[in-house]
Amino acid sequence: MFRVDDDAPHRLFGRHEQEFKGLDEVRVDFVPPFDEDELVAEEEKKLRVRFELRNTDPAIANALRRIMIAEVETVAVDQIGMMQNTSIIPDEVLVHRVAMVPLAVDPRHVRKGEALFFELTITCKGKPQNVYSRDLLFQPDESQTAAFPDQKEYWSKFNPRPVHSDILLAKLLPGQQIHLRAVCTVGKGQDHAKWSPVATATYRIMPKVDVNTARANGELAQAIKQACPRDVFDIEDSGALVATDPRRCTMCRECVRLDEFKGCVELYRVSDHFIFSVESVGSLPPLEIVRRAILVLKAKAVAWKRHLHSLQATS
Amino acid sequence: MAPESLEIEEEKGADVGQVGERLLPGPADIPQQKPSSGLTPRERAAVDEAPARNKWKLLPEFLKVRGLVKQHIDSYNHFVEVEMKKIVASKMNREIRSDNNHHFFLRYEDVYVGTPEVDQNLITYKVTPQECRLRDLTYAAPIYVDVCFTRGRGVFRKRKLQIGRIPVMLQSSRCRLRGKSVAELEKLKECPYDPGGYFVVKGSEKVILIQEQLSKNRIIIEQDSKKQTCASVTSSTHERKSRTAVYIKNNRIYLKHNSISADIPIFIVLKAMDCESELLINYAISGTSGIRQFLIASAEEAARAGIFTRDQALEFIGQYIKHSRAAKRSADDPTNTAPLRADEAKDVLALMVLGHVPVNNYDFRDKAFYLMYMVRQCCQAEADPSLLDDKDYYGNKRLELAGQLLALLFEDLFKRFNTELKLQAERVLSKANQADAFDIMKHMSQNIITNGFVQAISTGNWSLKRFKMERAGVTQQLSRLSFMSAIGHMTRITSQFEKTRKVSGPRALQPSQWGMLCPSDTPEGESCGLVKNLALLTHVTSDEEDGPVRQLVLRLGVEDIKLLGGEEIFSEGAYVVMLNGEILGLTAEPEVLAEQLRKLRRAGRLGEYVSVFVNRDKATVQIATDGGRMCRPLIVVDKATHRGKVRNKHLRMLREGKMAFHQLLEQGLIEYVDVNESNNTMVALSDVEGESAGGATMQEATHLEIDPLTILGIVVGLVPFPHHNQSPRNTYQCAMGKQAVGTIGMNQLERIDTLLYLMCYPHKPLVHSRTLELVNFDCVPAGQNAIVAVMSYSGYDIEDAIIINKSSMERGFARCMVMRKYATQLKTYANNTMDRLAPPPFATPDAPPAAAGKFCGVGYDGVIEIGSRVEKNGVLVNREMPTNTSDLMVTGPGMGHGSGEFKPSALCYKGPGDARVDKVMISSSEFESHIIKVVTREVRMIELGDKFSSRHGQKGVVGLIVPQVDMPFTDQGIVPDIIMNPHGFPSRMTVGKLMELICSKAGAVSGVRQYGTAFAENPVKACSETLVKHGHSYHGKEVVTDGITGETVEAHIFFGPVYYQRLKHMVADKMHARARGPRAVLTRQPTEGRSRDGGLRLGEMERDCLIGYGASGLLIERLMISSDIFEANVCLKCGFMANPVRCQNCRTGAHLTSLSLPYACKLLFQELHSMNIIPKLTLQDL
Ligand code: SF4
Repeated sequence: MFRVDDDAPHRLFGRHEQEFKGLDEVRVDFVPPFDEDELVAEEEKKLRVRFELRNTDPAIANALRRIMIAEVETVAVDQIGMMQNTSIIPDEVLVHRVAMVPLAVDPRHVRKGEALFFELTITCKGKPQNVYSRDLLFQPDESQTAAFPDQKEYWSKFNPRPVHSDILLAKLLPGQQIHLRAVCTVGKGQDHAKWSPVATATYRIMPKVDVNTARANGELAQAIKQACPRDVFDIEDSGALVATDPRRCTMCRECVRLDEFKGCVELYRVSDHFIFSVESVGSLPPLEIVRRAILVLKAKAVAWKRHLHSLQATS
Repeated sequence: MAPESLEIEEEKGADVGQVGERLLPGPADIPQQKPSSGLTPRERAAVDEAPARNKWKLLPEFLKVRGLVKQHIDSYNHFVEVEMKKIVASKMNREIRSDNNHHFFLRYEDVYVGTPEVDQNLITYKVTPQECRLRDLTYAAPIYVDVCFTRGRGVFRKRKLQIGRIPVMLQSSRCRLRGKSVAELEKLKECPYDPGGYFVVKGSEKVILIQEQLSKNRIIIEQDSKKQTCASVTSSTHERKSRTAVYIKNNRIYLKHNSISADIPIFIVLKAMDCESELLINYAISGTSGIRQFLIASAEEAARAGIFTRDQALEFIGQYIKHSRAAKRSADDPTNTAPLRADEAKDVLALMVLGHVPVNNYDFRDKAFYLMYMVRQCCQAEADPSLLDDKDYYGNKRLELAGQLLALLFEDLFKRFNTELKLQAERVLSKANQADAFDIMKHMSQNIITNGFVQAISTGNWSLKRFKMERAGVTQQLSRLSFMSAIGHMTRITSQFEKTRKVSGPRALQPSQWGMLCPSDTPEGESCGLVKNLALLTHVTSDEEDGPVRQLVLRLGVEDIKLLGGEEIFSEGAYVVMLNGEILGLTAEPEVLAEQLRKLRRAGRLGEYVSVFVNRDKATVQIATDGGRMCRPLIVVDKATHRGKVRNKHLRMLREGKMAFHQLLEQGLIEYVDVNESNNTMVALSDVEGESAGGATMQEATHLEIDPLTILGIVVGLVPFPHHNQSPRNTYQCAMGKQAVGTIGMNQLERIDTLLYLMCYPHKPLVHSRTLELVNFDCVPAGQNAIVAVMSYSGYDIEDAIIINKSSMERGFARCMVMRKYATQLKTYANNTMDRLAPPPFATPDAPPAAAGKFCGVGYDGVIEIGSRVEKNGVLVNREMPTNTSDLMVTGPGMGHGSGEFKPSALCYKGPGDARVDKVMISSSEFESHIIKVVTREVRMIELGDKFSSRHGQKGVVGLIVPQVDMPFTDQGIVPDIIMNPHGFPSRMTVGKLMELICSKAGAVSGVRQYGTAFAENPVKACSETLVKHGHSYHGKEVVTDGITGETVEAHIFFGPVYYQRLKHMVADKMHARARGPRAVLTRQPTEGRSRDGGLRLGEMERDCLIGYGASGLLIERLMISSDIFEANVCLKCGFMANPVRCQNCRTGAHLTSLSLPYACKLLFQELHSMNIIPKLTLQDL
């Protein structure tokens, strides 16, 4: 646990003496959404998950976070054959826009060596027209039907499509045309951000707000309660300040900033308690991302263990 | 509720810009004020009469009528509409007569300019600027004249006769874009935000830079190079320019003029001007004051020389006339028509000396007074050096704009045109028997004027024979690096000072440039301080008729100089009234006169740009109507109420469209004040209760600033909070803002420029300024709001390097396009052969173009297809050239289409990386029937070493690109796009950047864009509070977790969005290495420079190191073996170099031996040989 002060922000308290906790006593709690989530549409909420990871080390939590961002596989557009593009958007930029569109395809359904093909064929007639991600249509290709003759019916149960239908890709004037074929493959976020399954996967470390009740009472307590933008504090009947909900604290340090607040509140972080937040881009459910991340982590650990054993055996 | 506070609310409610513009819907951070509809009429009146709190709102109104480059456009319009007519109507130019035939004449009766058109294949049609750009044409309009001339015995009139074409300034009164709506401009493929003010000549956009000069026809008292006090005048009339100086040497006064070879004692000159009496001169110069000491010595000198009368004086001066025709006169030769010496001297005095003071019928009175006035000034300054003028003072400077420069050029060309016509006329009319009546119409060649203009503007060389003027670099290619650079180019001023001179005066910031020239926008390096930029509201005047002013001044009670004698002129308390440097008369009450004139000006009875300046030190009232003065609008302060005359009601009426800006001028609420008149003003900053009025209190103030930000130029408008930055940082940003990759105009994709850098996803800045709003920067932005973490990371961020997030980059951060033009023509040669386009080898008409190789993408027509990829040296246009372009073809019909008669001369892609073909244009220009332009496009991600900069002169290169997972992240999971090292702050003192970050962050969390306008209110505190409200730290800092270890970073990190610019300097354009490669033909050494695939030079200093270290082997290897080693044969006997078998000198091959030496050394020996110097090589074994 370390303390967050006003000007020397984080002081560590004997963390180095702590033992590595590993995963033995890990506790995972799924937490109810914060009030900020209330602003978010119901639809969006499905793409988020929050949970708390306790009794473990930052290394473990961070590994999980890193894997979610960079090593959980997804399907994204990898190459594009541009047959025709007379729109205002240059080929390269259009290609980039198409590639950033998240696809609702589970990479586990993609068989080895298989690539998915999407086609966008649009000609603007009459009025100026917008091209949206919904215009990207799954379209098995001959090069694949040779190797995977059942591709069409196989994929028909999974309905490959862009996650969001209304991502604007280009705008067309009458007579303009776009015709492109996108080749989608399985990849990892570490190769390109388009393969990252998450908008963000992050954690924050649990804040701990200690109140010096000897000082913080009466008017001062009121003032501090007022100062906190996150409503962390409450006033007890005795008039003393109490931190009722430290989880809400954002470490904004309003409660320690002013001189008169000196010595009333001390801010710490509980360094074995991580509040995770995973927001999926939509290609995989957020929990599934966590699950797969753990599997990747496990596979790594197993591989590492095997490696250690083989080292032991040789020496 | 007090009316005062009501007013504030009303203004706030009406204009959310006061607190920022809302971006997103959602709960407002700053509560919207209720509209003040419930005002009683009395309250409304009180509000209306209250001082205007938001007087900056005048700015957009002002610029709406003025445009950003009014000075250029106005001056061009003035030239086309007024000056041109004057030139043609002037006595010297309006008529051509023949010496041989007295009946013949050609008289110009009028001249006017049409609208831009182009003449192609005998068809004339209207042309748009964009067509000219694309087709390498000149955007020019015909000049028409109405003439009256004789043919045979008859007199004829002809109207609308074209005599040439003049390039048209975009947005000028002759331009097709003038007054067009946005939709119309779009149809013409023009950017609606483009300010105009430049020319399109042979397809390239040219700006005529504003030239700074010392003012003409004004007396300037200074110390010359010999430390003598000197009063000098540069007289300039339409006919000639000359410089007259009066200086004091050894207590004696002399006159110096460039058409007189010696310096003449002043008394002799004055005597020659009919002032024979010393007493009169004495009175006229010194009045009753005691500056006689100089005069006595000077008078004595004249007497010593034996000059007492006018004739003696003229004779004396006559001896020293340069290029004298009188000297050729000999007494014996009666046919000699050369003038007498004295007559010649009289003419010189009348016309050349002080040429701008008119002398009619040799009445020298005015000129003598003028000269005596100069002498007096000179003497006074000698006694009191504080009277010396400051050469760098901007009241003594004039700006020459496009119109004036073009007028000079036009006059010269028109004279040449007339001389040519006259020559033709003489040639024909001198013949005794003419077959037909001479028709001058057949001899009008338009080329003189047309080509003269095109030449001058496209090369920038202004050479005028009349004034012996030879100026280079007057025009420049309009810089289209970014929108800001184009605008900045239009306000640029160059001065005529040489850059090499080591004087600091002209470069230094001058107090008198306050409000007129931008103190920040100047380049670094050699032209620092010499190249300047106009401030936001500066206007440059055009010439105005001074006749009415002259009459008016005399009617206002000024005593005419013609009626006064010397004693009165310099009597105590008499102020000399001068109009454009000419002495008009005297007044005893200068302030009253000035006040009356100003009142008349405010009432619109006098030109709005006429300036009246009371100079107490010199006891003069200077009235100026001439062109080239800088002036700026100020709000007039009401003398009675001590409040600015612009009130809320005016702003309201402007807003409601019930009033236009020019009405403010006409009603005398606002007036233009030039540099000189500024000396008579006290300018307050604000008249609103509770706001600081600045240096002057409202009691003493005469004027009110429209807004303090107008002392800065347009380009500084990019910097948020410039008043919180160290001054040089703003200067650096001015230079860098012009290199920022972004949008260059709405028509950027329609344009074909040599090189264009465009950003794929430019942002509006989260913190913007009023100035940016004025130039519509939001529509043509150059940069992106990057999330910046100010922390150190990895050690790849030293020396201002920045760390970039790889995922941001992949998502499109700072991605840019590079468009490059490749152009070629299909020429027709003298022998009627033509270049041709050939299909690529083995191509067939129906098959698609090759997918790889040199001809990849080239269609059957020989031109590359749009969208195809090109590699280095890939063919873009497969052009073939006839092998024989000089002899007439022998093959007859089907000329030059046989095989073998053509050789390939294809246009190839030269760029370093692959690119795609964006556009192909096939058209014709004025000279070539086929021009082909190919535009290639490269999309570039960020690379290590690419240059970025914030808007505070903080540039840095990319030091490392880091995967997102390794980047630190905040509690909210935000990962920075850029990590910047905090060491960039202490020494740079760019507090503005810290403020920008806080305000951007507040803007981002609350959805309200913030203003960072110069000298405006400070929004930081409010922004900090907004941050707290949203749960962020008051100081803009965040608790971040390290992405590598997963632990919280032990410091709070300053974290938030900052507007970053990607600069055009990219590694891909500069990266260069060479192992082997081409060599120069002459020296056989490796070529130099990246463009020629050159080697990297091991220079002298590197050589010194190697010598010092003693690495002789390495030296030989570097300087000879790897460079230009040559095996020479040397004859041991004579020491000459020989061919491999025989020494030509000894006529034997017996003593030859071979020797390795640098080829350059061998070349040197041979060159010395050719100069009869014989270096001998004496070889010996070691
Ligand atoms: S740091 Fe900020 S959010 Fe946390 S308790 Fe203090 S005031 Fe509240």
